[in-house]
Amino acid sequence: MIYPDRQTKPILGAIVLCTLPHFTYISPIVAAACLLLWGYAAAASAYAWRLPGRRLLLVFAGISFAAAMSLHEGFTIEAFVALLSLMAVLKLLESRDLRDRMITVILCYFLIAGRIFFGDSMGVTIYMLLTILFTTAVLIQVNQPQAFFPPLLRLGGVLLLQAFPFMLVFFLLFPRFQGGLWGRTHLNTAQTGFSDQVGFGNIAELARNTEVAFRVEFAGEVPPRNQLYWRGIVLWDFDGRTWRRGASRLSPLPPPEADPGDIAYTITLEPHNQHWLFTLDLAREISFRQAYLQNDHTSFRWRPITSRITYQAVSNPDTRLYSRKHFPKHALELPEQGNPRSRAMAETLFRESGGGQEYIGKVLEYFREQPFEYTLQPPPLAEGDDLVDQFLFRNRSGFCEHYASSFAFLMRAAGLPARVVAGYQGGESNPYGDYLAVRQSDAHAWCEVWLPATGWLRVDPTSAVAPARVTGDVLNALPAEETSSLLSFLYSTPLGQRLRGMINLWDFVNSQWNRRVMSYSANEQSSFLTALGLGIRSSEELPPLLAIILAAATLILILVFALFFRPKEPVRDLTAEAWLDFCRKMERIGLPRRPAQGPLDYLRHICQQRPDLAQNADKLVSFYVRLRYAGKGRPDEIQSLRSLVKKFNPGRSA
Amino acid sequence: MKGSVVPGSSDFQARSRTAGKQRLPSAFLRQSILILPTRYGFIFLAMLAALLLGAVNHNNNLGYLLVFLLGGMALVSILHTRRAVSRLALSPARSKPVFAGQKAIFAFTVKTSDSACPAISFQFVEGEPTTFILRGGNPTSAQASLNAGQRGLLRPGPLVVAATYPLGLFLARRSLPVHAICLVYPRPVPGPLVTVPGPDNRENEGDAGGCGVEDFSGLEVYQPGDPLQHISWKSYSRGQGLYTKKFEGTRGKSLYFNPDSLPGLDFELRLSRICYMILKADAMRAPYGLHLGNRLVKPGLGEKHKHQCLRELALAGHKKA
Repeated sequence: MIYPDRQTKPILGAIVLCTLPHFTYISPIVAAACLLLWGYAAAASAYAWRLPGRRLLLVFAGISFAAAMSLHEGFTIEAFVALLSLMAVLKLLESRDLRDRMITVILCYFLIAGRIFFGDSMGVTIYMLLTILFTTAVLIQVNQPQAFFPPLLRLGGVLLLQAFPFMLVFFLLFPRFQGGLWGRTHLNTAQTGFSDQVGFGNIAELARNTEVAFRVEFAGEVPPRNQLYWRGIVLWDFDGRTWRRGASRLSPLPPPEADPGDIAYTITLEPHNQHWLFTLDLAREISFRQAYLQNDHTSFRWRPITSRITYQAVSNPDTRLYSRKHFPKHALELPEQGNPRSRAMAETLFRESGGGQEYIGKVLEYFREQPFEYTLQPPPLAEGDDLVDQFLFRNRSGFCEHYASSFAFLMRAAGLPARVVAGYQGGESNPYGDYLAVRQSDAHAWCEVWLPATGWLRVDPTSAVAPARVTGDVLNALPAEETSSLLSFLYSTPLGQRLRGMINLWDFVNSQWNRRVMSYSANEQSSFLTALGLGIRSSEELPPLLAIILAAATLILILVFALFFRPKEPVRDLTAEAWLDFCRKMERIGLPRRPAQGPLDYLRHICQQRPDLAQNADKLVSFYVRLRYAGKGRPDEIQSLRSLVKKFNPGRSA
Repeated sequence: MKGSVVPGSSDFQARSRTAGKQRLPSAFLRQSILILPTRYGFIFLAMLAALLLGAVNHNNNLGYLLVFLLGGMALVSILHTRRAVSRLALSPARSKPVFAGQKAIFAFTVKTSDSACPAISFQFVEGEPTTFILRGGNPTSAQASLNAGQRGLLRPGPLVVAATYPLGLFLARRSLPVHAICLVYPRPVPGPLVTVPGPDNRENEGDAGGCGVEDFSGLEVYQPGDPLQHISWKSYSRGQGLYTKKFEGTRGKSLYFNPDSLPGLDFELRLSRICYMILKADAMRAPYGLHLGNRLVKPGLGEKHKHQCLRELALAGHKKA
């Protein structure tokens, strides 16, 4: 039973602080259960309620385990985190003694650690430091139950600061290994970013997500904004509702020839748990382990991207798309039935136009002239097979994927090979660092049409409806009533401009943090050692060398700290030492000082027993008494007392 | 005690006695301090190992930062733990006499030159640990107990001082010599009261004229210290003030307890029986004396008298302390 003690609340506080950041990706049911249990624990501690027995808690623990596993698709990291969140508060409910409390606090540390799999931005790191501070203060209080909490926060801070040099040394010198030790635990959350299909509505969901998808640094000039098409995937198969990648029929792109129009750049891609990498249209070259360019100019990596990666690529916007000579058969495939009105219109328009190029112009003109609307919240399309018809002739309002899907449909219906490309368009340049931040809200879909004269040609039907989308920003392109959010505030008011400056600064800090700290690896370690003057010949030499330096540095640190912590040397009392020397000499001749004898009594005793020593002893003892009791003696006086004692020779025992 | 009291020395340790040797306080600071992980320390280290494996496997730099920060914290906490016990100074311990079989409690003050307020546990080698929170820089009262097994003088060994301050992950332990002696009376063993006449009756005739328990002899004005059960509550309730009922014992015959009056018993058992008799007589407020070999305590009453008699019993057969 919890009695209203001083410990339950801080521990509960630590649990709450450590669990809260996980709420964004654990199941809402688990989160709700956590909230309930926290409330119960807080009330139980405040009103001294009886707590559930161990058996009941065991049942709860079993339910938690089953719930965590079933709600997060088995043994995933999310499931472990959810389980930890529940276990921590259940453990608190059974806290009866030091052991339970210690285990609870250690569970809190585990909860803090669980966060490392879900992002490593500066904000996450700072929050993590704060929770470590709080949890450590709680750990101290668990061990010093009578202590007040606020000073313990200070002590925890002192501990963290003192631990900092160790952390730094270990972080710099602990050998890093490429790749993992074994298979990584499956991470369930498909990180934000689009999936490998485009239908009617899934990119619009991203439009309000301002998370950074990747950051780009150009070696030279930044290309104009309407050229910033970031190619992700190419979609071939249309089933009437969704465009999919279909079975892979791709082969690697042959090595390129250098071209003066080449644009070289570096991309730092946030993990998205998918296999593709983004490149500027059209990539000619990409350099990253296990990643290669395919002949549709998309980049693919065998292992999904589960951690932040940085890669260099070269693109050339003028590159004629590969496979000019032919197109695959499936670039013309459409479902057998459905969308009769669209098919009819495609036929009519194609018949009226003299060729592919003109037909494309006519379709774009159709989009431009009919009352099409660019919006994030299109009226829902009814169930059925004729989604393209519904969009083109009834709703006429949609986001980029609506336009791209129906445009590609119209092309194929007229017998022109077409495909949908998904990726990002645009990017915001950061004034603090010379880079471009491409956010999830920049997600975009466009089309490519194959013409005999040009090969694959990029056509962005969205630009026909909302030209501002390509030259400006999503927000400029959207109707006014949809931009009344925080974002429009940021882009249209002076205060918003200043705030945006701060957001840019924060993004810059994060990008630096990512580049300089979070991507620290064996390469940086090797150059760090070279900077120290310890060049290495091969990468096999690195780990042992690092281990040796690490051990030495740790030892030095410990010694420095031990010196700092050494017990204070007690001040030597020379007067007392001299007096004890005198007493020892007297003891040797059989006249020990009795415990209760003060110096003067002792002197009297000596004078009685050994009148021959009386003169010397009197001089010495009275000198001692003066030094001892009449204020502190000067150093030279103490010195003369010492020499007196040294010279004093009681002779042999009487 | 031989000269180990250094007059004017502010250090408590200066007053501790060690095997009759004269030593300076600093000598005690050279004691070795043992540091071990507690079981939570082991759990914590296991947790760090698990996190480190996770960080290595995922090549996660944030994980490395976290593990090394927590590891550094554990490492630094060892120094704090060590410091908590290294700067302690103990005063000599005081203790009240106890009966054999009881717990002897030694009270002392602890001082630390540190501003920290660690919880420190004190324990004699064979005793149980008790924990006290130090008040940083100020002397703190503390105590440690030990079971008193045999009568006589109980001199506990060094005091084991331990702390897990601040994180509870490591335990620092050292033993501090502490000057402590406890007088242990024999264990009282119930039995009939057996009295013997004094060694010289004539000499004692006047002495035993104190208060007896047998016959009521009248009321006297209450004096502080009179036993409560002898107060005349009846007259008090009548509003006549506080009076004490006086009883007359057997005049001229003082009671003496003597182990020799219990033949056929083990000497220690005899002392235990006598101990019981003394306590009984004291409770009845019957004057008693003690005749123990060549030592004689004249009959009397009161706390001081009782303790004098019990002390004789405790030290019977010992060298006079």
